[in-house]
Amino acid sequence: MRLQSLPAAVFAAALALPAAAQDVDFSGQTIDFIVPYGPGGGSSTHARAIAPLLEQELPGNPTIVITNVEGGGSIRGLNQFTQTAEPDGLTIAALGTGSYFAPLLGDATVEYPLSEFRPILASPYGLVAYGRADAGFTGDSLQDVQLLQDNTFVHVGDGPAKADMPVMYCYDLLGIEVLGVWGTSRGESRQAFERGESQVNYDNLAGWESELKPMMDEGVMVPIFTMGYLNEAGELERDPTLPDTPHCMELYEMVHGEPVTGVQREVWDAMFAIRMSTAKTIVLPPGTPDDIFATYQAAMQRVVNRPEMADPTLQLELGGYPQAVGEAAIRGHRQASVISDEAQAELLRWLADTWSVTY
Amino acid sequence: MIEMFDVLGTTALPAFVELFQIQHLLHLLFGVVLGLSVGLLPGLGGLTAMALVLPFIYGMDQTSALAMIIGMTSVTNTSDTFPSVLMGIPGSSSSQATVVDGYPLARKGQGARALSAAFMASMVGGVFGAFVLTFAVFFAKPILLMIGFGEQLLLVILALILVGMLTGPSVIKGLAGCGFGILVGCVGAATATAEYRMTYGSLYLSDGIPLVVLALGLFAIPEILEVLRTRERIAEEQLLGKGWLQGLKDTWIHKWIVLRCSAIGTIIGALPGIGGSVIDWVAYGHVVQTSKDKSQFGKGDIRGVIAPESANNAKEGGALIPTLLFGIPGSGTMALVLAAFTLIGITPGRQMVQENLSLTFTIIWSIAVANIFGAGIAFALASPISRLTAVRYRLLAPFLLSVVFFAAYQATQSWGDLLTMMAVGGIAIFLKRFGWSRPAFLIGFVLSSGLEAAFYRTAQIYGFSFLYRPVSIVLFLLVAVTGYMAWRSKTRVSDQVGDMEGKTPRRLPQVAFATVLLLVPLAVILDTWDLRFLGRVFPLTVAVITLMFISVGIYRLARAPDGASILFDGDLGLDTSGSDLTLWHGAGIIAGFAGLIAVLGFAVGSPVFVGLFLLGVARVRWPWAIFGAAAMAAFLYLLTSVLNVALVAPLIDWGF
Repeated sequence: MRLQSLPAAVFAAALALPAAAQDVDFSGQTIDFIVPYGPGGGSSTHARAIAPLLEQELPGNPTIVITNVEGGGSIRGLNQFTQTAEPDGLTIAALGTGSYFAPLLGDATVEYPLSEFRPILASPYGLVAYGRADAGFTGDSLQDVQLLQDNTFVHVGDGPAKADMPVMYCYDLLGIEVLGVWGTSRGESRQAFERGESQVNYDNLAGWESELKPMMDEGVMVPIFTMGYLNEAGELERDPTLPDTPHCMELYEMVHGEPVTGVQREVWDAMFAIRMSTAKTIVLPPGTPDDIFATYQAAMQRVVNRPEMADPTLQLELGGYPQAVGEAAIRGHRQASVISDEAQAELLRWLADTWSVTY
Repeated sequence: MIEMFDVLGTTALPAFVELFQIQHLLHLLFGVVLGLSVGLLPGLGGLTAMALVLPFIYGMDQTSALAMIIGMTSVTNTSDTFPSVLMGIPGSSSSQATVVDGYPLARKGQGARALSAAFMASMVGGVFGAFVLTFAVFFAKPILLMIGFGEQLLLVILALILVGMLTGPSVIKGLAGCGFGILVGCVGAATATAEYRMTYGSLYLSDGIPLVVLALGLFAIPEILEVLRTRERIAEEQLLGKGWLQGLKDTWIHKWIVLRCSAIGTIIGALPGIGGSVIDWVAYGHVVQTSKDKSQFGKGDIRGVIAPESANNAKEGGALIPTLLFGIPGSGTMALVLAAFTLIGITPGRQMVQENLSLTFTIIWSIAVANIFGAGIAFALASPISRLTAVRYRLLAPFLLSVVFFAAYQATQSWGDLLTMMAVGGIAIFLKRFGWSRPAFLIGFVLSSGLEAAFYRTAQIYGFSFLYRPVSIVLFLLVAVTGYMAWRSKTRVSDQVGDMEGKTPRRLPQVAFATVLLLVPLAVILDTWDLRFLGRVFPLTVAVITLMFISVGIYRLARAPDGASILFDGDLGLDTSGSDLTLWHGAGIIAGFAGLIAVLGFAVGSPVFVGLFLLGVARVRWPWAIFGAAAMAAFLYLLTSVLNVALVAPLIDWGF
């Protein structure tokens, strides 16, 4: 449904792809697909959805074996990928939100050159922040921001320097303070919200139909804002799943009367790229030769054009948005992995001042 | 109420009939056999089995796929009992408590009895869990919504009080041991602040020490070494003929224990906050506390086997309650089950108890049937497999060591797993020798993160006001009563087996070891001192308390009159005359094995080790040594080609 509401199903298809080199052939070979998260997590689901299709589209129909290498967020798996993967196309890896945040924050255990990875697919995932109706949230965004500014509500999540960062930054931009209770998974956070122990929460929009909409229909919660969605013209607009809910930047303008500018906007854009545009990315190791890279790009292009991609279940596993391949994936990955020194300094300052998190 | 029975009639019954179509039943049976085989190997569990079948599930019909998945995940807790009982090697995180009494029973030649009692208890537990699940899907949600962070805190404290029953004769040593466990559980990123604690810059330690690695180090390593240096075979007495019949009778005699512990397992499995890996200990502690004659616990009391085994199978049904009602997985296996649901076109979540109710009942019936199948198969194997305990131990030992190393490596698949296990094993040899309760240590470790997290969240959200909530009041009373009973109890069980045969232990080694232990809380204090308040308050508090316990312990070890319960040296009761191997030989063998793995990798190093051990230590003729090595190699080949498991790679790069 979400797909049909968008003008073009696969915007990346419009972009010219380099012609695939014909001499790359993976016949009879096994490709190791490193997923740096646990076997039950979202990145594994994403990888398992893509792998069988990619097997059929790569020349020579190789076997793809998914290996979960957990540890330190995603750092251990990606360090290992960097150390051991030969640039021969026989090892690929998945990146998640944390894979981008860790080097951005200067985590000392990171030993992978993030921006040198060669991306072949980026799957966007939407995000919605919501509040409990019995705490006074109405669904009228301006009124809800007022309510948030006047009260200190409880937010239960994994941490201000982790996946919660964009939502926490948005709260701060809107002049909102929340009481952060940390160290929980998304599932635990939602349970705490359902129990009424937290009054505000956020979730992936991929679970909207099955998990969140029922809560709204029961009158338990109302959406406050989304991250927004970048259309094919590169403009930020409302998320197609929730056309009545403003996105964070829009809400800022409604509250403050002017748009976010300068270094703050730069920080936001970086977070947006990481959390939304490249939420789940598949990459080849640094230094992969152009012919192998082009072969993968072309194969991935064919993957997203396959009829199976219209299957709603598969769509759900891939986040529900058009997939970015080719140049679009490269652009998304670059935006998410390169940040100016000023923006990084601003981010670290914000974490230290607001949440006393220092690196 | 009437509506509920209506639904049971219109939905539950057809689901039952549907499941009994032959192809569904065959898939279920296939899942059961797979789950049993994978569960048999320590370190592998439902997670491995799920990952194995996931690729095949796409495109299967829903009922068959469900039957297979559920069949598989329901029974891994059944077969993990084999290594726990027969070899003293914890088969998985849910059968650690089974070791405490199951293994002594095997040593008495009653392995078959312990196993068959365990399987009967497992079956009843599993069916009980499914039965509860049948009704829970209708009304459990409001109950679950009442269990907030405050209630979770009280539940963790309730579980922690059990340590009071498992300290061993010396309360002070038991409590100090529990403190150690909590401190070791603090290794890794702090819950509240995400600051790293006691990781010393190591990426391996940043996620904390894996439970499997710790449990293998604590129980398996000391046990293997002790048998090697004392006896010929595990069973010291003649195998009990018709042991399996006795096991059946035991389960019947203790049917109320089975039911009570099944209920405990189901409830804890469903509730957030405590986690599945402590359920076996809670059930064990419960049966110790409620038994009149506690004298045989830790020495081979069949009740100590029945209790944890009925609870750990009942847990699976319980854990499905939040998974189905909220669409939120309660464990790693459940997360994969949910992933498989998506693959066969089922959206997990609220619909499961509304439009998709019939699927939910297919799941429930599958659990029940799988448990009956699984227990039946395991039951049939109990008697033959238990004969292993009468085999000359030196023929078994190299294979067991290989399995232990293999299992530890499956935790995170890094060298850190092996190094940590060997380090823990080294300490555990002395914990065992000097009577420091290893169960207390393990319970402290398992509950550590839950305790800290619940404490910090409760303090932030409620302060003390959580005590006004209705469920909290009930739990608080339960905590008070249980605490009082633990305090008054005269018998304290532990894994401290063997007496000192009236000899007086030397004090110096005991004092020296306790002084070494003193370094642990000191290191914690040094390491966490500079962290932010929320990052350090918990480990600092526990470290200071532990420091006090050990200091008192050291004073008593030095000054207490001869015969005081704190003085213990298990080595005095060991008869080492029958073996030419000492502890040093044992340590050398393990270090040598690690060295072989480092140079050759596990795939080659383990068969070589088996061959060398059989030749040099077991003194078999060389064709047999080669046969043993080949068998090990074939087994590893089978394992890696069927299951997607990794073996330790050599540290030296050989270029292939």
